[in-house]
Amino acid sequence: MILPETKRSCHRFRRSLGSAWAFTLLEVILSMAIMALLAASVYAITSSSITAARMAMDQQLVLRRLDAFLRVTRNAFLNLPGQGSVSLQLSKGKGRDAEPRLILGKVQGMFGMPSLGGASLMLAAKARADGTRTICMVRIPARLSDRELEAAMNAPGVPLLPKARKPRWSFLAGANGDGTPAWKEEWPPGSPRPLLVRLQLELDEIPDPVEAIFYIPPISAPQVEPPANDSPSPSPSPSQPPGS
Amino acid sequence: MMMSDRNHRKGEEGFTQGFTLFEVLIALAVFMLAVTGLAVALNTALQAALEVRQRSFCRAELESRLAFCQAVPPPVGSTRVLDASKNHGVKVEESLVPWPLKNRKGLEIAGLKKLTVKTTSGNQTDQAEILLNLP
Repeated sequence: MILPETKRSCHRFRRSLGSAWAFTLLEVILSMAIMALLAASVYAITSSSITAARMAMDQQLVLRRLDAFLRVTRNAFLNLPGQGSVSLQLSKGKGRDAEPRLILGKVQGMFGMPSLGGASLMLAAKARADGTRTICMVRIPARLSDRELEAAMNAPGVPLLPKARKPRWSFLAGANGDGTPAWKEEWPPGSPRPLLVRLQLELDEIPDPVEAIFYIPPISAPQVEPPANDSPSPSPSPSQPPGS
Repeated sequence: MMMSDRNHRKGEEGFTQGFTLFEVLIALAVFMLAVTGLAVALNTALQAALEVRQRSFCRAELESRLAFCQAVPPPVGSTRVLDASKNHGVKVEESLVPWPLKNRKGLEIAGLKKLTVKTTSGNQTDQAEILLNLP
């Protein structure tokens, strides 16, 4: 029970100090709770935006890499010279899965290399420690011994497309009896040029599998205009009648 | 400075006035506007990224189908359709029609056909047309 005298003295004391009313504990707790709610909402939105932006940037990077790889590979197949050859080798490494190696033989002016000096180019899916594969371009010089050839094929090469999974090359030489395309998983050295080359793979940042088809123009004899039977004669001038 | 003046403004009984309910509501509304703007901007950025991805897939599929049709063209006069559910989420329509074109001597070039390939992924559409010589 607070005596009226005590209450008055408290009031006087507050007035003498000239201070304001302080917040009660309940008000402070309520305001802190509201602040915490607002801060949590802002943190959640900011955090999710940063995560989404990072994912979008990663996907953009992978898409740009894939686009550039497909472009240079498509150009390589389109500009395959007449004497160029295409073959596929599946090498069995030590304790690893088979490494698909697409070999473009007797080529020049591909992948930005103006002259290869009779060498071949190889697109190999090199295994990485994290379980993914990197599609690399490897130059295989001509006239190598077996040991040198093995060393050249196992060279790291120039990485073109990292973080690929399950890369698979297939080739189209013709159609089945019902008209559906007949894709072949094997294309040994010495085979003729395929009509189409297909690459199927999965990329870490992209949910859907990627499938790209490359066209190889067929080799045909150069078309020349048949020579004229009679020798060319100068056309008569319009002012001159033909009989004159 | 204004907040400090406001906080220390004394009322009739000598006590400091707090914020009114109206002021608190306005402050909360402004805050919510800012947060909503942030969320809308985030959503727009994500939609743009998704759109770019769909467009890239559309273009890649278009180039692949153009390559395929050069080796295995669709029947003349009809449209070959690949459903999106069976083709990585991209719908493809391919058509081949005769394309009458004359050379400099006025003679029609035989076997010339126009190949049209149209790909659709989500709300993204891409289309390409090339001339093929298929005698």
